Amino acid sequence: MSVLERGGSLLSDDLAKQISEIYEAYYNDIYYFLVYFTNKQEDAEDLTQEVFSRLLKALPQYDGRVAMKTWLFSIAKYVAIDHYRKMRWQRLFSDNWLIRMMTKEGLPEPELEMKEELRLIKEALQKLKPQLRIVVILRYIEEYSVKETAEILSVPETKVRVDCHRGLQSLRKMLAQSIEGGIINGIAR
Amino acid sequence: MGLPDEEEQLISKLRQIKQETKPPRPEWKQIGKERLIRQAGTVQRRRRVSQVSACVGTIGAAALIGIWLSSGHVAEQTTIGEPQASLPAAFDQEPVKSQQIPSVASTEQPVNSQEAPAGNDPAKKNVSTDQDEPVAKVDSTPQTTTSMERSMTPIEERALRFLQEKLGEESKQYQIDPGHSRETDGYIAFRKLVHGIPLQLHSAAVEVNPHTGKMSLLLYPIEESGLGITATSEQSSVIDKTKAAQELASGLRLVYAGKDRPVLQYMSDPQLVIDAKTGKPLDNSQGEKRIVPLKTEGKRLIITDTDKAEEVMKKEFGIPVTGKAFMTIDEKAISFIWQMSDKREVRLKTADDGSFVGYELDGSFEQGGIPLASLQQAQDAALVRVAKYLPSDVAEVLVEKALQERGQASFTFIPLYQGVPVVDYPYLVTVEMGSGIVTAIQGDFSRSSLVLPSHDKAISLDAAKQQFLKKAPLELVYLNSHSNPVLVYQVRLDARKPWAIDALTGHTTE
Repeated sequence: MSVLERGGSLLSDDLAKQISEIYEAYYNDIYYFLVYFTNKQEDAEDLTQEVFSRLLKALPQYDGRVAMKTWLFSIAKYVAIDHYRKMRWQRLFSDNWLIRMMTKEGLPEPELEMKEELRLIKEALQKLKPQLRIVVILRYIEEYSVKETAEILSVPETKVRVDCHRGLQSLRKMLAQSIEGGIINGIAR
Repeated sequence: MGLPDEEEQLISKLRQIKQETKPPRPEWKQIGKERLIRQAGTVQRRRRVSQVSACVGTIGAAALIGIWLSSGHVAEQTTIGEPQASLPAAFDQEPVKSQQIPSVASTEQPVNSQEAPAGNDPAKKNVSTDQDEPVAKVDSTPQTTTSMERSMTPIEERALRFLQEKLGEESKQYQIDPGHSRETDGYIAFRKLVHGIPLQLHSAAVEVNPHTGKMSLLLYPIEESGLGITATSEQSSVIDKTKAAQELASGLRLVYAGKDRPVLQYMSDPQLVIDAKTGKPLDNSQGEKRIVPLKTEGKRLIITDTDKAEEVMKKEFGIPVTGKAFMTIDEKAISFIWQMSDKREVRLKTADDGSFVGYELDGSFEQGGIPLASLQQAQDAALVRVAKYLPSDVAEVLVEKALQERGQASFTFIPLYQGVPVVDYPYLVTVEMGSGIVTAIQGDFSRSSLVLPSHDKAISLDAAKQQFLKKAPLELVYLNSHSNPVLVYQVRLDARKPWAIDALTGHTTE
């Protein structure tokens, strides 16, 4: 049976093999979560590595009562929040996506608009409080169910619903402030 | 409270973020995995030490208790608990050096100045670098990062300063490795010197963010065990460099080199290296190079919008993409991306003018395909896919690389123009063995025909070999072949200016 399926202590003699299996199985899930959170590929890659390093240290405590993926996400949540705290006095917004979108020639108008909308939404997402940002990412970008999100965050489902609502409200408010009569008026009135 | 419609619209936009997000870079993922495995090894070793120490501690505590009991000290001792572990936590992080992530990768492309092993055959030392001497030149002085023959570029200087600042004295063990650097991406590679000889693929890199100027250092930690002994003993028995040069000269080939206006050159096979102990070419893992005839059509594909992109994927390549592609533009290419179900992704790339550059399927596409039984079958499938779009006057390709690993076969085809390889026009194809589907194809498909200068006036191969023996800058390096580094001779290469002989004038490109 794979280490991903069984419970109990995982720290056997083949630790390297076990951590490799876990890494291969969940790397992308964690990476994407962190890239949505940080808006920076390089940071997301570093933080993903940090998540797995922390996992390695914590593996002896893993008793199989929660799914490995859930456990990893709970580590990723703390890594993301730690990162947020470190970065709070620094510039928060990545301009990577902006730079990539600066060449506008040749882009059909609707696609330009779509890119602009997404850019503003990403910016707004980065301004959300980390706890709300995490919920919004898990629910609406990663598209986890309320139940799954609650499990990952170890909170009641009602809290997930409330936070989702607050997150969306805040996003809408920020979008409304950032645009006056702009292209995403339909979203952010 | 917001209106439900607005919320739905916002949620729908949030979902689109997924489509635009860059996937993780496979090389970093692999590097991270290797680092984690090393960490796991450290954890395990420490855990064993901890267990042994705890056991020793228990025995020691028992002995002490015995002494106390026998000497009457037990009277004041009401309970004796479990021996407390006084050892450090078993799950520490790796040392700081190991926390950095390795960077330098795959193909062996050597670097500038180079030394022969210090302290071995005196005849091999102090070899003249006079270009008229009929011996390939090999530098013999021990080398450090500061003893570069070539002048450093400003970005290299910055990277070197950063390395010195971070590593202090240890930075002297590193040397700039232009063969692995990508200056345009702000990536400067270094290679470590072992007993004064560079160790390929065990390196450091300084990355300079082109937008922010922020620098980061990446280190690939060396497993030192065994290396020192091997290195010292091997250096004492290297072959004469002249013999190495003769062997390397046998790999000279006439090629068209250059991207915009390919010119005729004699170049040494970049993958050819000579085992400095046996004097024989070292096996490379890229498969035997063979020339394969094929019938090309020179068909050009121009993709200007998402509809055309969808049509090309479906009709030309039989890839059933669904929905409208998301379009991204960067400095080098335009990409059309389809996010399929189950996180599969299809990406079609074009040049600025819409010329087809390649496509890539990310994720498993095994459904419905026919499994392939051999690398040869995969190669046939790959050639069928590219042949239609190769310039019509290409009648043969050189199979430069043919590898099968992790359920995929990867090929690099070099087109031949009137029998001469056009080396800077490689075509890369990947085939999934489980389905026979061509999952990636990449190359310059913008030309329906090649027009290159005739090679009638090229100097003879023998003349080129003579020139090579006189002037080729050989270097001695350790190649990290699995656990045992192998000492090899190779032609020094610089990514900015590969060493070659002009096939029309006979001059070297130095």
